[in-house]
Amino acid sequence: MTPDAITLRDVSKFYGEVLGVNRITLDLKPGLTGLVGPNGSGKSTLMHLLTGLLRPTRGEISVLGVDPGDPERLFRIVGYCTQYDSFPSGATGLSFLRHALALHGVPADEGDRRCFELLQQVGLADAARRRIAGYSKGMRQRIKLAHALGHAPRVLVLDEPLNGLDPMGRAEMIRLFKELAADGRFVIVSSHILHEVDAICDAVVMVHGGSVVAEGQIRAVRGEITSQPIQVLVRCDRPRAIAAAALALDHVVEAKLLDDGASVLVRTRDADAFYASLTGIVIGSGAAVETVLPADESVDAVYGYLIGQPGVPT
Amino acid sequence: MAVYERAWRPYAGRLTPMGRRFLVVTRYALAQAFESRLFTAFYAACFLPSLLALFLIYISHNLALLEQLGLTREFMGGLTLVFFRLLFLWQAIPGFFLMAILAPRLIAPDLANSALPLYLSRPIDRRDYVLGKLAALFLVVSPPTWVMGLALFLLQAVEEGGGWGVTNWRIALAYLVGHLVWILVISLLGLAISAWVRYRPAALGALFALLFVLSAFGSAVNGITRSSIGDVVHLTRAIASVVQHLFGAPTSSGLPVAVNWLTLAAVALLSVFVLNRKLRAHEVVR
Repeated sequence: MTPDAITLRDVSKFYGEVLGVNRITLDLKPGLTGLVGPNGSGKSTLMHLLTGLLRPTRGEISVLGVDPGDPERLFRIVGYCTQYDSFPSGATGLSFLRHALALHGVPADEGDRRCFELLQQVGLADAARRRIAGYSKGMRQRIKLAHALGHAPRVLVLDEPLNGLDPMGRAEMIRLFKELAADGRFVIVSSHILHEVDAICDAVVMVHGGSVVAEGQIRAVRGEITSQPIQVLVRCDRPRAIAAAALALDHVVEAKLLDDGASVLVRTRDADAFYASLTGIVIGSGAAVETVLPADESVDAVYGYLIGQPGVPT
Repeated sequence: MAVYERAWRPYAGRLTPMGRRFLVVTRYALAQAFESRLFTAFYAACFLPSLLALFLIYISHNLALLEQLGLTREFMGGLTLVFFRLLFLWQAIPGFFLMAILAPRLIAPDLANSALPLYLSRPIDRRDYVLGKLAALFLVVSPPTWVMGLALFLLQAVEEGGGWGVTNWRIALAYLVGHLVWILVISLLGLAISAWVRYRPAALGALFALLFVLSAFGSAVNGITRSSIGDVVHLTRAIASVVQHLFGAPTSSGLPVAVNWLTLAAVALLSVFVLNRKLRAHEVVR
């Protein structure tokens, strides 16, 4: 159990006879990690295990060397943003944060200063003295995030933090997550909206039926799914010539001309070899290439390949 | 994986000691309690028996006033054990209502709104949470009960002089221990019922119903068996007997006072057990 990583070793959680998560082994590194999976896949259970709100039926968990069963030590280094939309009745944004910081042991004067910093950070400074009950869904998400950030934790566990946010709010939050990760923190974000995770995360943990089906960087995970050839989209002015040249390569299994007449979708068993050959193909065909991009190196596609349900798993 | 430079700095300032952290829960629970004007008014009314007793102690030692009123010092038979026992009762009843009203307000909304994950994602555990709520109940109920009781005892002892305080030390003991036990048992029971039913009005009703049902059941068992065995579950009689014993008076239960103590201990332990089962960040599905 290293003091500079979040590790789970053979962790299982059963709710009576209902499986929560099963034999999960993970090593999470600093940066933005996405926890993805459909509703009921075990994402929240995993987050609750990481934050000590649930105890594992078996296995060991260490968060930067701290046992999640010790809330005093754990919540000095962990900030948790629950998915539940519940707040003390009558609380204002400011009083809610004050209460949280007081429980973290921050003295009142320092706590007040910190509260206003946090409210500024999440864009709620103007609504500080308004009751949370009157906040919009997006504002409530942001005050929860401020709550998680209050004591400057190194690990942030954010359960569906983008739910209910409008596009502007999402963009702001995503920028904030990236800033937090850029500071060297562990930012673990759960979501069942895959393209969102794809856009923000350095690495993903894919959960399905209580088990981890894949973890790591999307590209690396995709590269390991050898049963599904990798798709590369090439946009150029001579797609037929590119397709013909690509089909001559052993590892290319298909080259499909798209309806727009300016793209070819190449399916290959060896993406690296294809990218290495592509320059020669382009020069040989005399085509002017506009774009070359992986067509299925997304969380969405990878998840579909792994669990056999292409599309957004909601 | 992107390479990040570690620029994060944790909060490095002074922290309040961990042992006192539960008092934050208490502070907010107290603020929540006195948000209601109705509750605040009722709380003020809970001091009336003690204020009346204060008045009686005052006039019983004011010979000039007694003369003006045409009374003698013996107008209420002196300030005897009976006077303080009655006062205890008139303090304990409003105290019970205070706990019955307040206990569900402190816990039931947190459970009903799934707020425990939020609470417990701070550096406190379930024990601190319960301790914080319990301390709030203790701080609310103490002033109109044992604090006023002991103050009146001291006043009477000073006014009476002649070693009255020493002679009647059991009154002070009864006020202190009796009220503390009453507060502890009913508070724990109230919190446990609130954690169980999760709905404030239902918790209030359940607390009254439980006391009534246990008392009725105990009395029925006594009647059927023509014994006092039913007092084992007769919670109100158990507490009454314990207090009577503390006052040095005959007890109303037919059972030894040790059994009454055991009844109270069992209720408290059962309440702790229920709290331990029900106060969890996440419900365990079975």
